[in-house]
Amino acid sequence: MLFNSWGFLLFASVLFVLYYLPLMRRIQVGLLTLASLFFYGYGEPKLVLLLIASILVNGLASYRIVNGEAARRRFWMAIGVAVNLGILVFFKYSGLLWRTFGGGGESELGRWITNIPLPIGISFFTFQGISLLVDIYRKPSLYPPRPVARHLLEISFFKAFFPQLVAGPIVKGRDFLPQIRTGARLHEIDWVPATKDLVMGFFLKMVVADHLKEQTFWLANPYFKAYSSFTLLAMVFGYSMQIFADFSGYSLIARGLAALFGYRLPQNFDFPYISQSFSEFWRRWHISLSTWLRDYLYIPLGGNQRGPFRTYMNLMIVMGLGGLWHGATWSYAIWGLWHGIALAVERFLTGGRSASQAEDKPFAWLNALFVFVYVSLGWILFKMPQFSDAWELFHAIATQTALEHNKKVILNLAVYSVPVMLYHFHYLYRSRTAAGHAEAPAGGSSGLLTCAVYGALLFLILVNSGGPGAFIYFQF
Amino acid sequence: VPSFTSSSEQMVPGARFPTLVVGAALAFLALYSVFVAVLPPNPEDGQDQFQENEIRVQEFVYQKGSMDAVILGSSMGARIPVAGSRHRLFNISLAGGTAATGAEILHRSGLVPKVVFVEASTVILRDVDDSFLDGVFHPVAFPLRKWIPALRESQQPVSRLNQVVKQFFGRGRDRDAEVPPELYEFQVQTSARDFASRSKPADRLGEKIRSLGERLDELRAQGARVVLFELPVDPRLTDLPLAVEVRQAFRERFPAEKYEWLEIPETRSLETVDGIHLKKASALRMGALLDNALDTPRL
Repeated sequence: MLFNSWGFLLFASVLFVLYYLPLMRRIQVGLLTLASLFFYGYGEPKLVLLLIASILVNGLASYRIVNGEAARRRFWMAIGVAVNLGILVFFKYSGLLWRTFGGGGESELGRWITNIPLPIGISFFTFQGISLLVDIYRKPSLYPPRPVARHLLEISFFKAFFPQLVAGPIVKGRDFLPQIRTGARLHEIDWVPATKDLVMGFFLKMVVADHLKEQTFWLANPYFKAYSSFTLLAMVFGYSMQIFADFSGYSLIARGLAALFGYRLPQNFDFPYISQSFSEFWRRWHISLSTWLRDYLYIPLGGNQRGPFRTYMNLMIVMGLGGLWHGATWSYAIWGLWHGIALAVERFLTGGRSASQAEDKPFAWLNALFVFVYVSLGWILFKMPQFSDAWELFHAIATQTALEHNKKVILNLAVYSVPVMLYHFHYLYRSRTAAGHAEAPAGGSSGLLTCAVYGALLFLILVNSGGPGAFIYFQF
Repeated sequence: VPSFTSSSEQMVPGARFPTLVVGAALAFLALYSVFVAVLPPNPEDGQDQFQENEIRVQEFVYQKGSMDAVILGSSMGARIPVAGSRHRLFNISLAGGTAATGAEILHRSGLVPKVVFVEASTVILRDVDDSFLDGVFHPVAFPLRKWIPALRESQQPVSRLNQVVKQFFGRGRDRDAEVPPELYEFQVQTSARDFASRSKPADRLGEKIRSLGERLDELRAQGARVVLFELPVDPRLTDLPLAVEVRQAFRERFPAEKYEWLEIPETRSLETVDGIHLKKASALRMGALLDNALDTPRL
């Protein structure tokens, strides 16, 4: 069920009303869990079985970690993490491993392996399960012992909560578990940030990303062969805007929805295209994934504490695996390494001191521009997971200079990129003035001008939405 | 998420914020509705081909009054202009779509034009676009767009902005004339590869032509005159196996004794941009042919 569908509007509205009925107060967690399972299984009910299996594995393993013998806690954590990784590898990477190491022949086994379906959101909810097990193993006080039925219910809710289920943010156990409660009341909703997140999220997705996707559609092979170099470059940069608007839009909607039910989800994007360095970019882009990789992979590998060589290796390993997390083709790993190389070179050149917005360096905007261009070229591997296609596109950009520019495509790309740029510039302006970048004035109030601006965004959602499309990150 | 609040601004309590945002949006919508009522757009100007499909179909399903004819087809038929027609002629040929999707639009809308022109081409192998149809005829969105024209695709503010930009800077040169020979050749060769072998069983050619036939027979039973036509393509593609197979399948299901076929004279003089799609001048001539056919009681 897509957030930007009429069906979801009905689902969320009915659930919202039910959730705040007085007689539901004691079973709010159960209600949200059941609704989340319905949300996940809508359209393909058999997928719920996998989610339930994942919930059971994590619920039982976490229960044993919390309640079992101290000497066995590590064992249950390791088993739980291994099963999570096993599920992910089986459903997501079997085909890739078969094609790479199994010969990829047309045997019956090969056909079976390559036809294993990819359940939606599997990358997100398995990483979430791993964070749960590791967090309560590292800090048992995070989740004190409770009866097994309640334990399983709360872990089910943590895993299945629908706003973040299929495309994140990847919620960490330590952030979410302490929030779980019943008895939420309507008047406790923090309406201003919830409304802003929802309106801005839907605007970025439905008005910006869904229109940009129609313009960048032509980056596919063989269509790009009919476009000039300049038009293709405009499409590449337009795709940068599209993927930001699509994914940050989704994340904002998820945060807004969670807030309507009294839960806080972590910020997933922090205006990444103003980044002046690659390390800053990864502190601002898909924050819940980059912090996951930092906490559960980079630091356990030794981080930057074991000398320069290991630090560079760790960066490459983490970014390579982080790239592969996105999709089961080697081009995603190459995309990760593209960023790993940038991070390693940057670290080598700066000695680990990364630039930040607080520093008013000369030519700071040139740094930001360089980072943006480098990141945008990397997105080509996202758009075209086949190496040969990506290579042909690079070749077309370099050679199709004589073709006439497609003014219509360029104009539309420019028009729909403007909101993304304004979104970033507005933040930059406010972060460099006394106003700071506070989301809303204290006391849960907001200004009339802000109402009008968000009203205008909602108006544009009504009258200027693009063709409905799935969120890009749903495929991961 | 940004806040636009300044220190001197009047503050509103948090619980009223969503109400005020919705109120502001409705006020903007009311103002914009007045604007679009006063200044109707050029319905042919979409921001992309997918939106142009929606614009065509919405203009058709929300039209008022009698209509003389409608064209059902794919991106090939979509090139045929109807603006200069002497008749009330609509073109709901869909880029990336097929005549069968157009027939479903007629079925779902319940509209019965006097004449239905049907493009017979290899594109019939595509599936009917159900998600597109569900979007057009959505039980909530369909009536909303009917009663509030500002919600239609043709009225999108960015489309209006594009029209203004075009008026200032012109439409640019005619891209038809600018296609380099090597690109034309590449596109013809790409199509030739697609046409080189007969359809696969999974394509379900027979089933698709039967389904189209059922819809067209329904229209005939309701009094519509159905006229099929085949658009010219690059001569090197005309007799390739797939083109021949599809042509035969159409002719068997819709024999000339029972169904009207519009025969295109001098097809070799009609030129294409890429071997498949007519150039603007040729599409204009094709439009004139259809217009003339409407003046003929029966071909």
